[in-house]
Amino acid sequence: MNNKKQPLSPHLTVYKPQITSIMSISHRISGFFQTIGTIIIFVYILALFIGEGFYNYIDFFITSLLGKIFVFLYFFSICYHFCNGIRHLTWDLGYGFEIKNVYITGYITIFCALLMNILLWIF
Amino acid sequence: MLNSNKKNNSESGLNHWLYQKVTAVLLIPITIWVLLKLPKFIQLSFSDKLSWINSSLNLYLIALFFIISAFHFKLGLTVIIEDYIHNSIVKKYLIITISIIALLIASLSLGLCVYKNLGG
Repeated sequence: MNNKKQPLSPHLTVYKPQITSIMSISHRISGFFQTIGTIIIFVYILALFIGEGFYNYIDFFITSLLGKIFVFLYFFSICYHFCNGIRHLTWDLGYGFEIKNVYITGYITIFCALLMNILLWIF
Repeated sequence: MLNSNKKNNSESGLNHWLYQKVTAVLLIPITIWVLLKLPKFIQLSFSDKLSWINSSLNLYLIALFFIISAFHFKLGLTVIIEDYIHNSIVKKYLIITISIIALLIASLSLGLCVYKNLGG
């Protein structure tokens, strides 16, 4: 594979942290985390078809303290990735590129993600 | 030779971008449903979970979520691997691994729906 000529995303360690760059890397981190989470939730649901013995192994993890923290972070990741994903889609449509708007939509995204995460556990 | 490679690269880049966006848009409504249902589902007992998944609508929608998610995370993780893993052999095998996992999740999800339809 010749990858010397392919463009790369900027590596964040070179820059001073800003809300824009933090949100960008958070999108990747939450995406990566959700992948692991979705695989586990998939196996959890698949286990219902395999049998109660296998199910109990995964349920043991999910209902443990670590599992509860994991489930909470999984849904928080989805809320954030969902809101920031919509922000990305509006950029793809050509809106919101002005620096001022990038910041405004950034704060709206964080607010919406937190609100969604609270509502999620109420309803 | 170099030119045709260049063309293939830009074409696959465009396709990648397009598939990422199409799966993202498809995931918007299905994610809202998942966020409304899944937190409660997790708290159910084994037998209640089983009767929840025995409802065709629930099974089809969660399968759809897994299928579209599998494509979406395959595309997303490929970009992350390409950006941060610089050893080309490790890179190649990680991308193959994530492709196999995505394909397994998508095909097993589809399989469960077919199984359900056959009266299993």
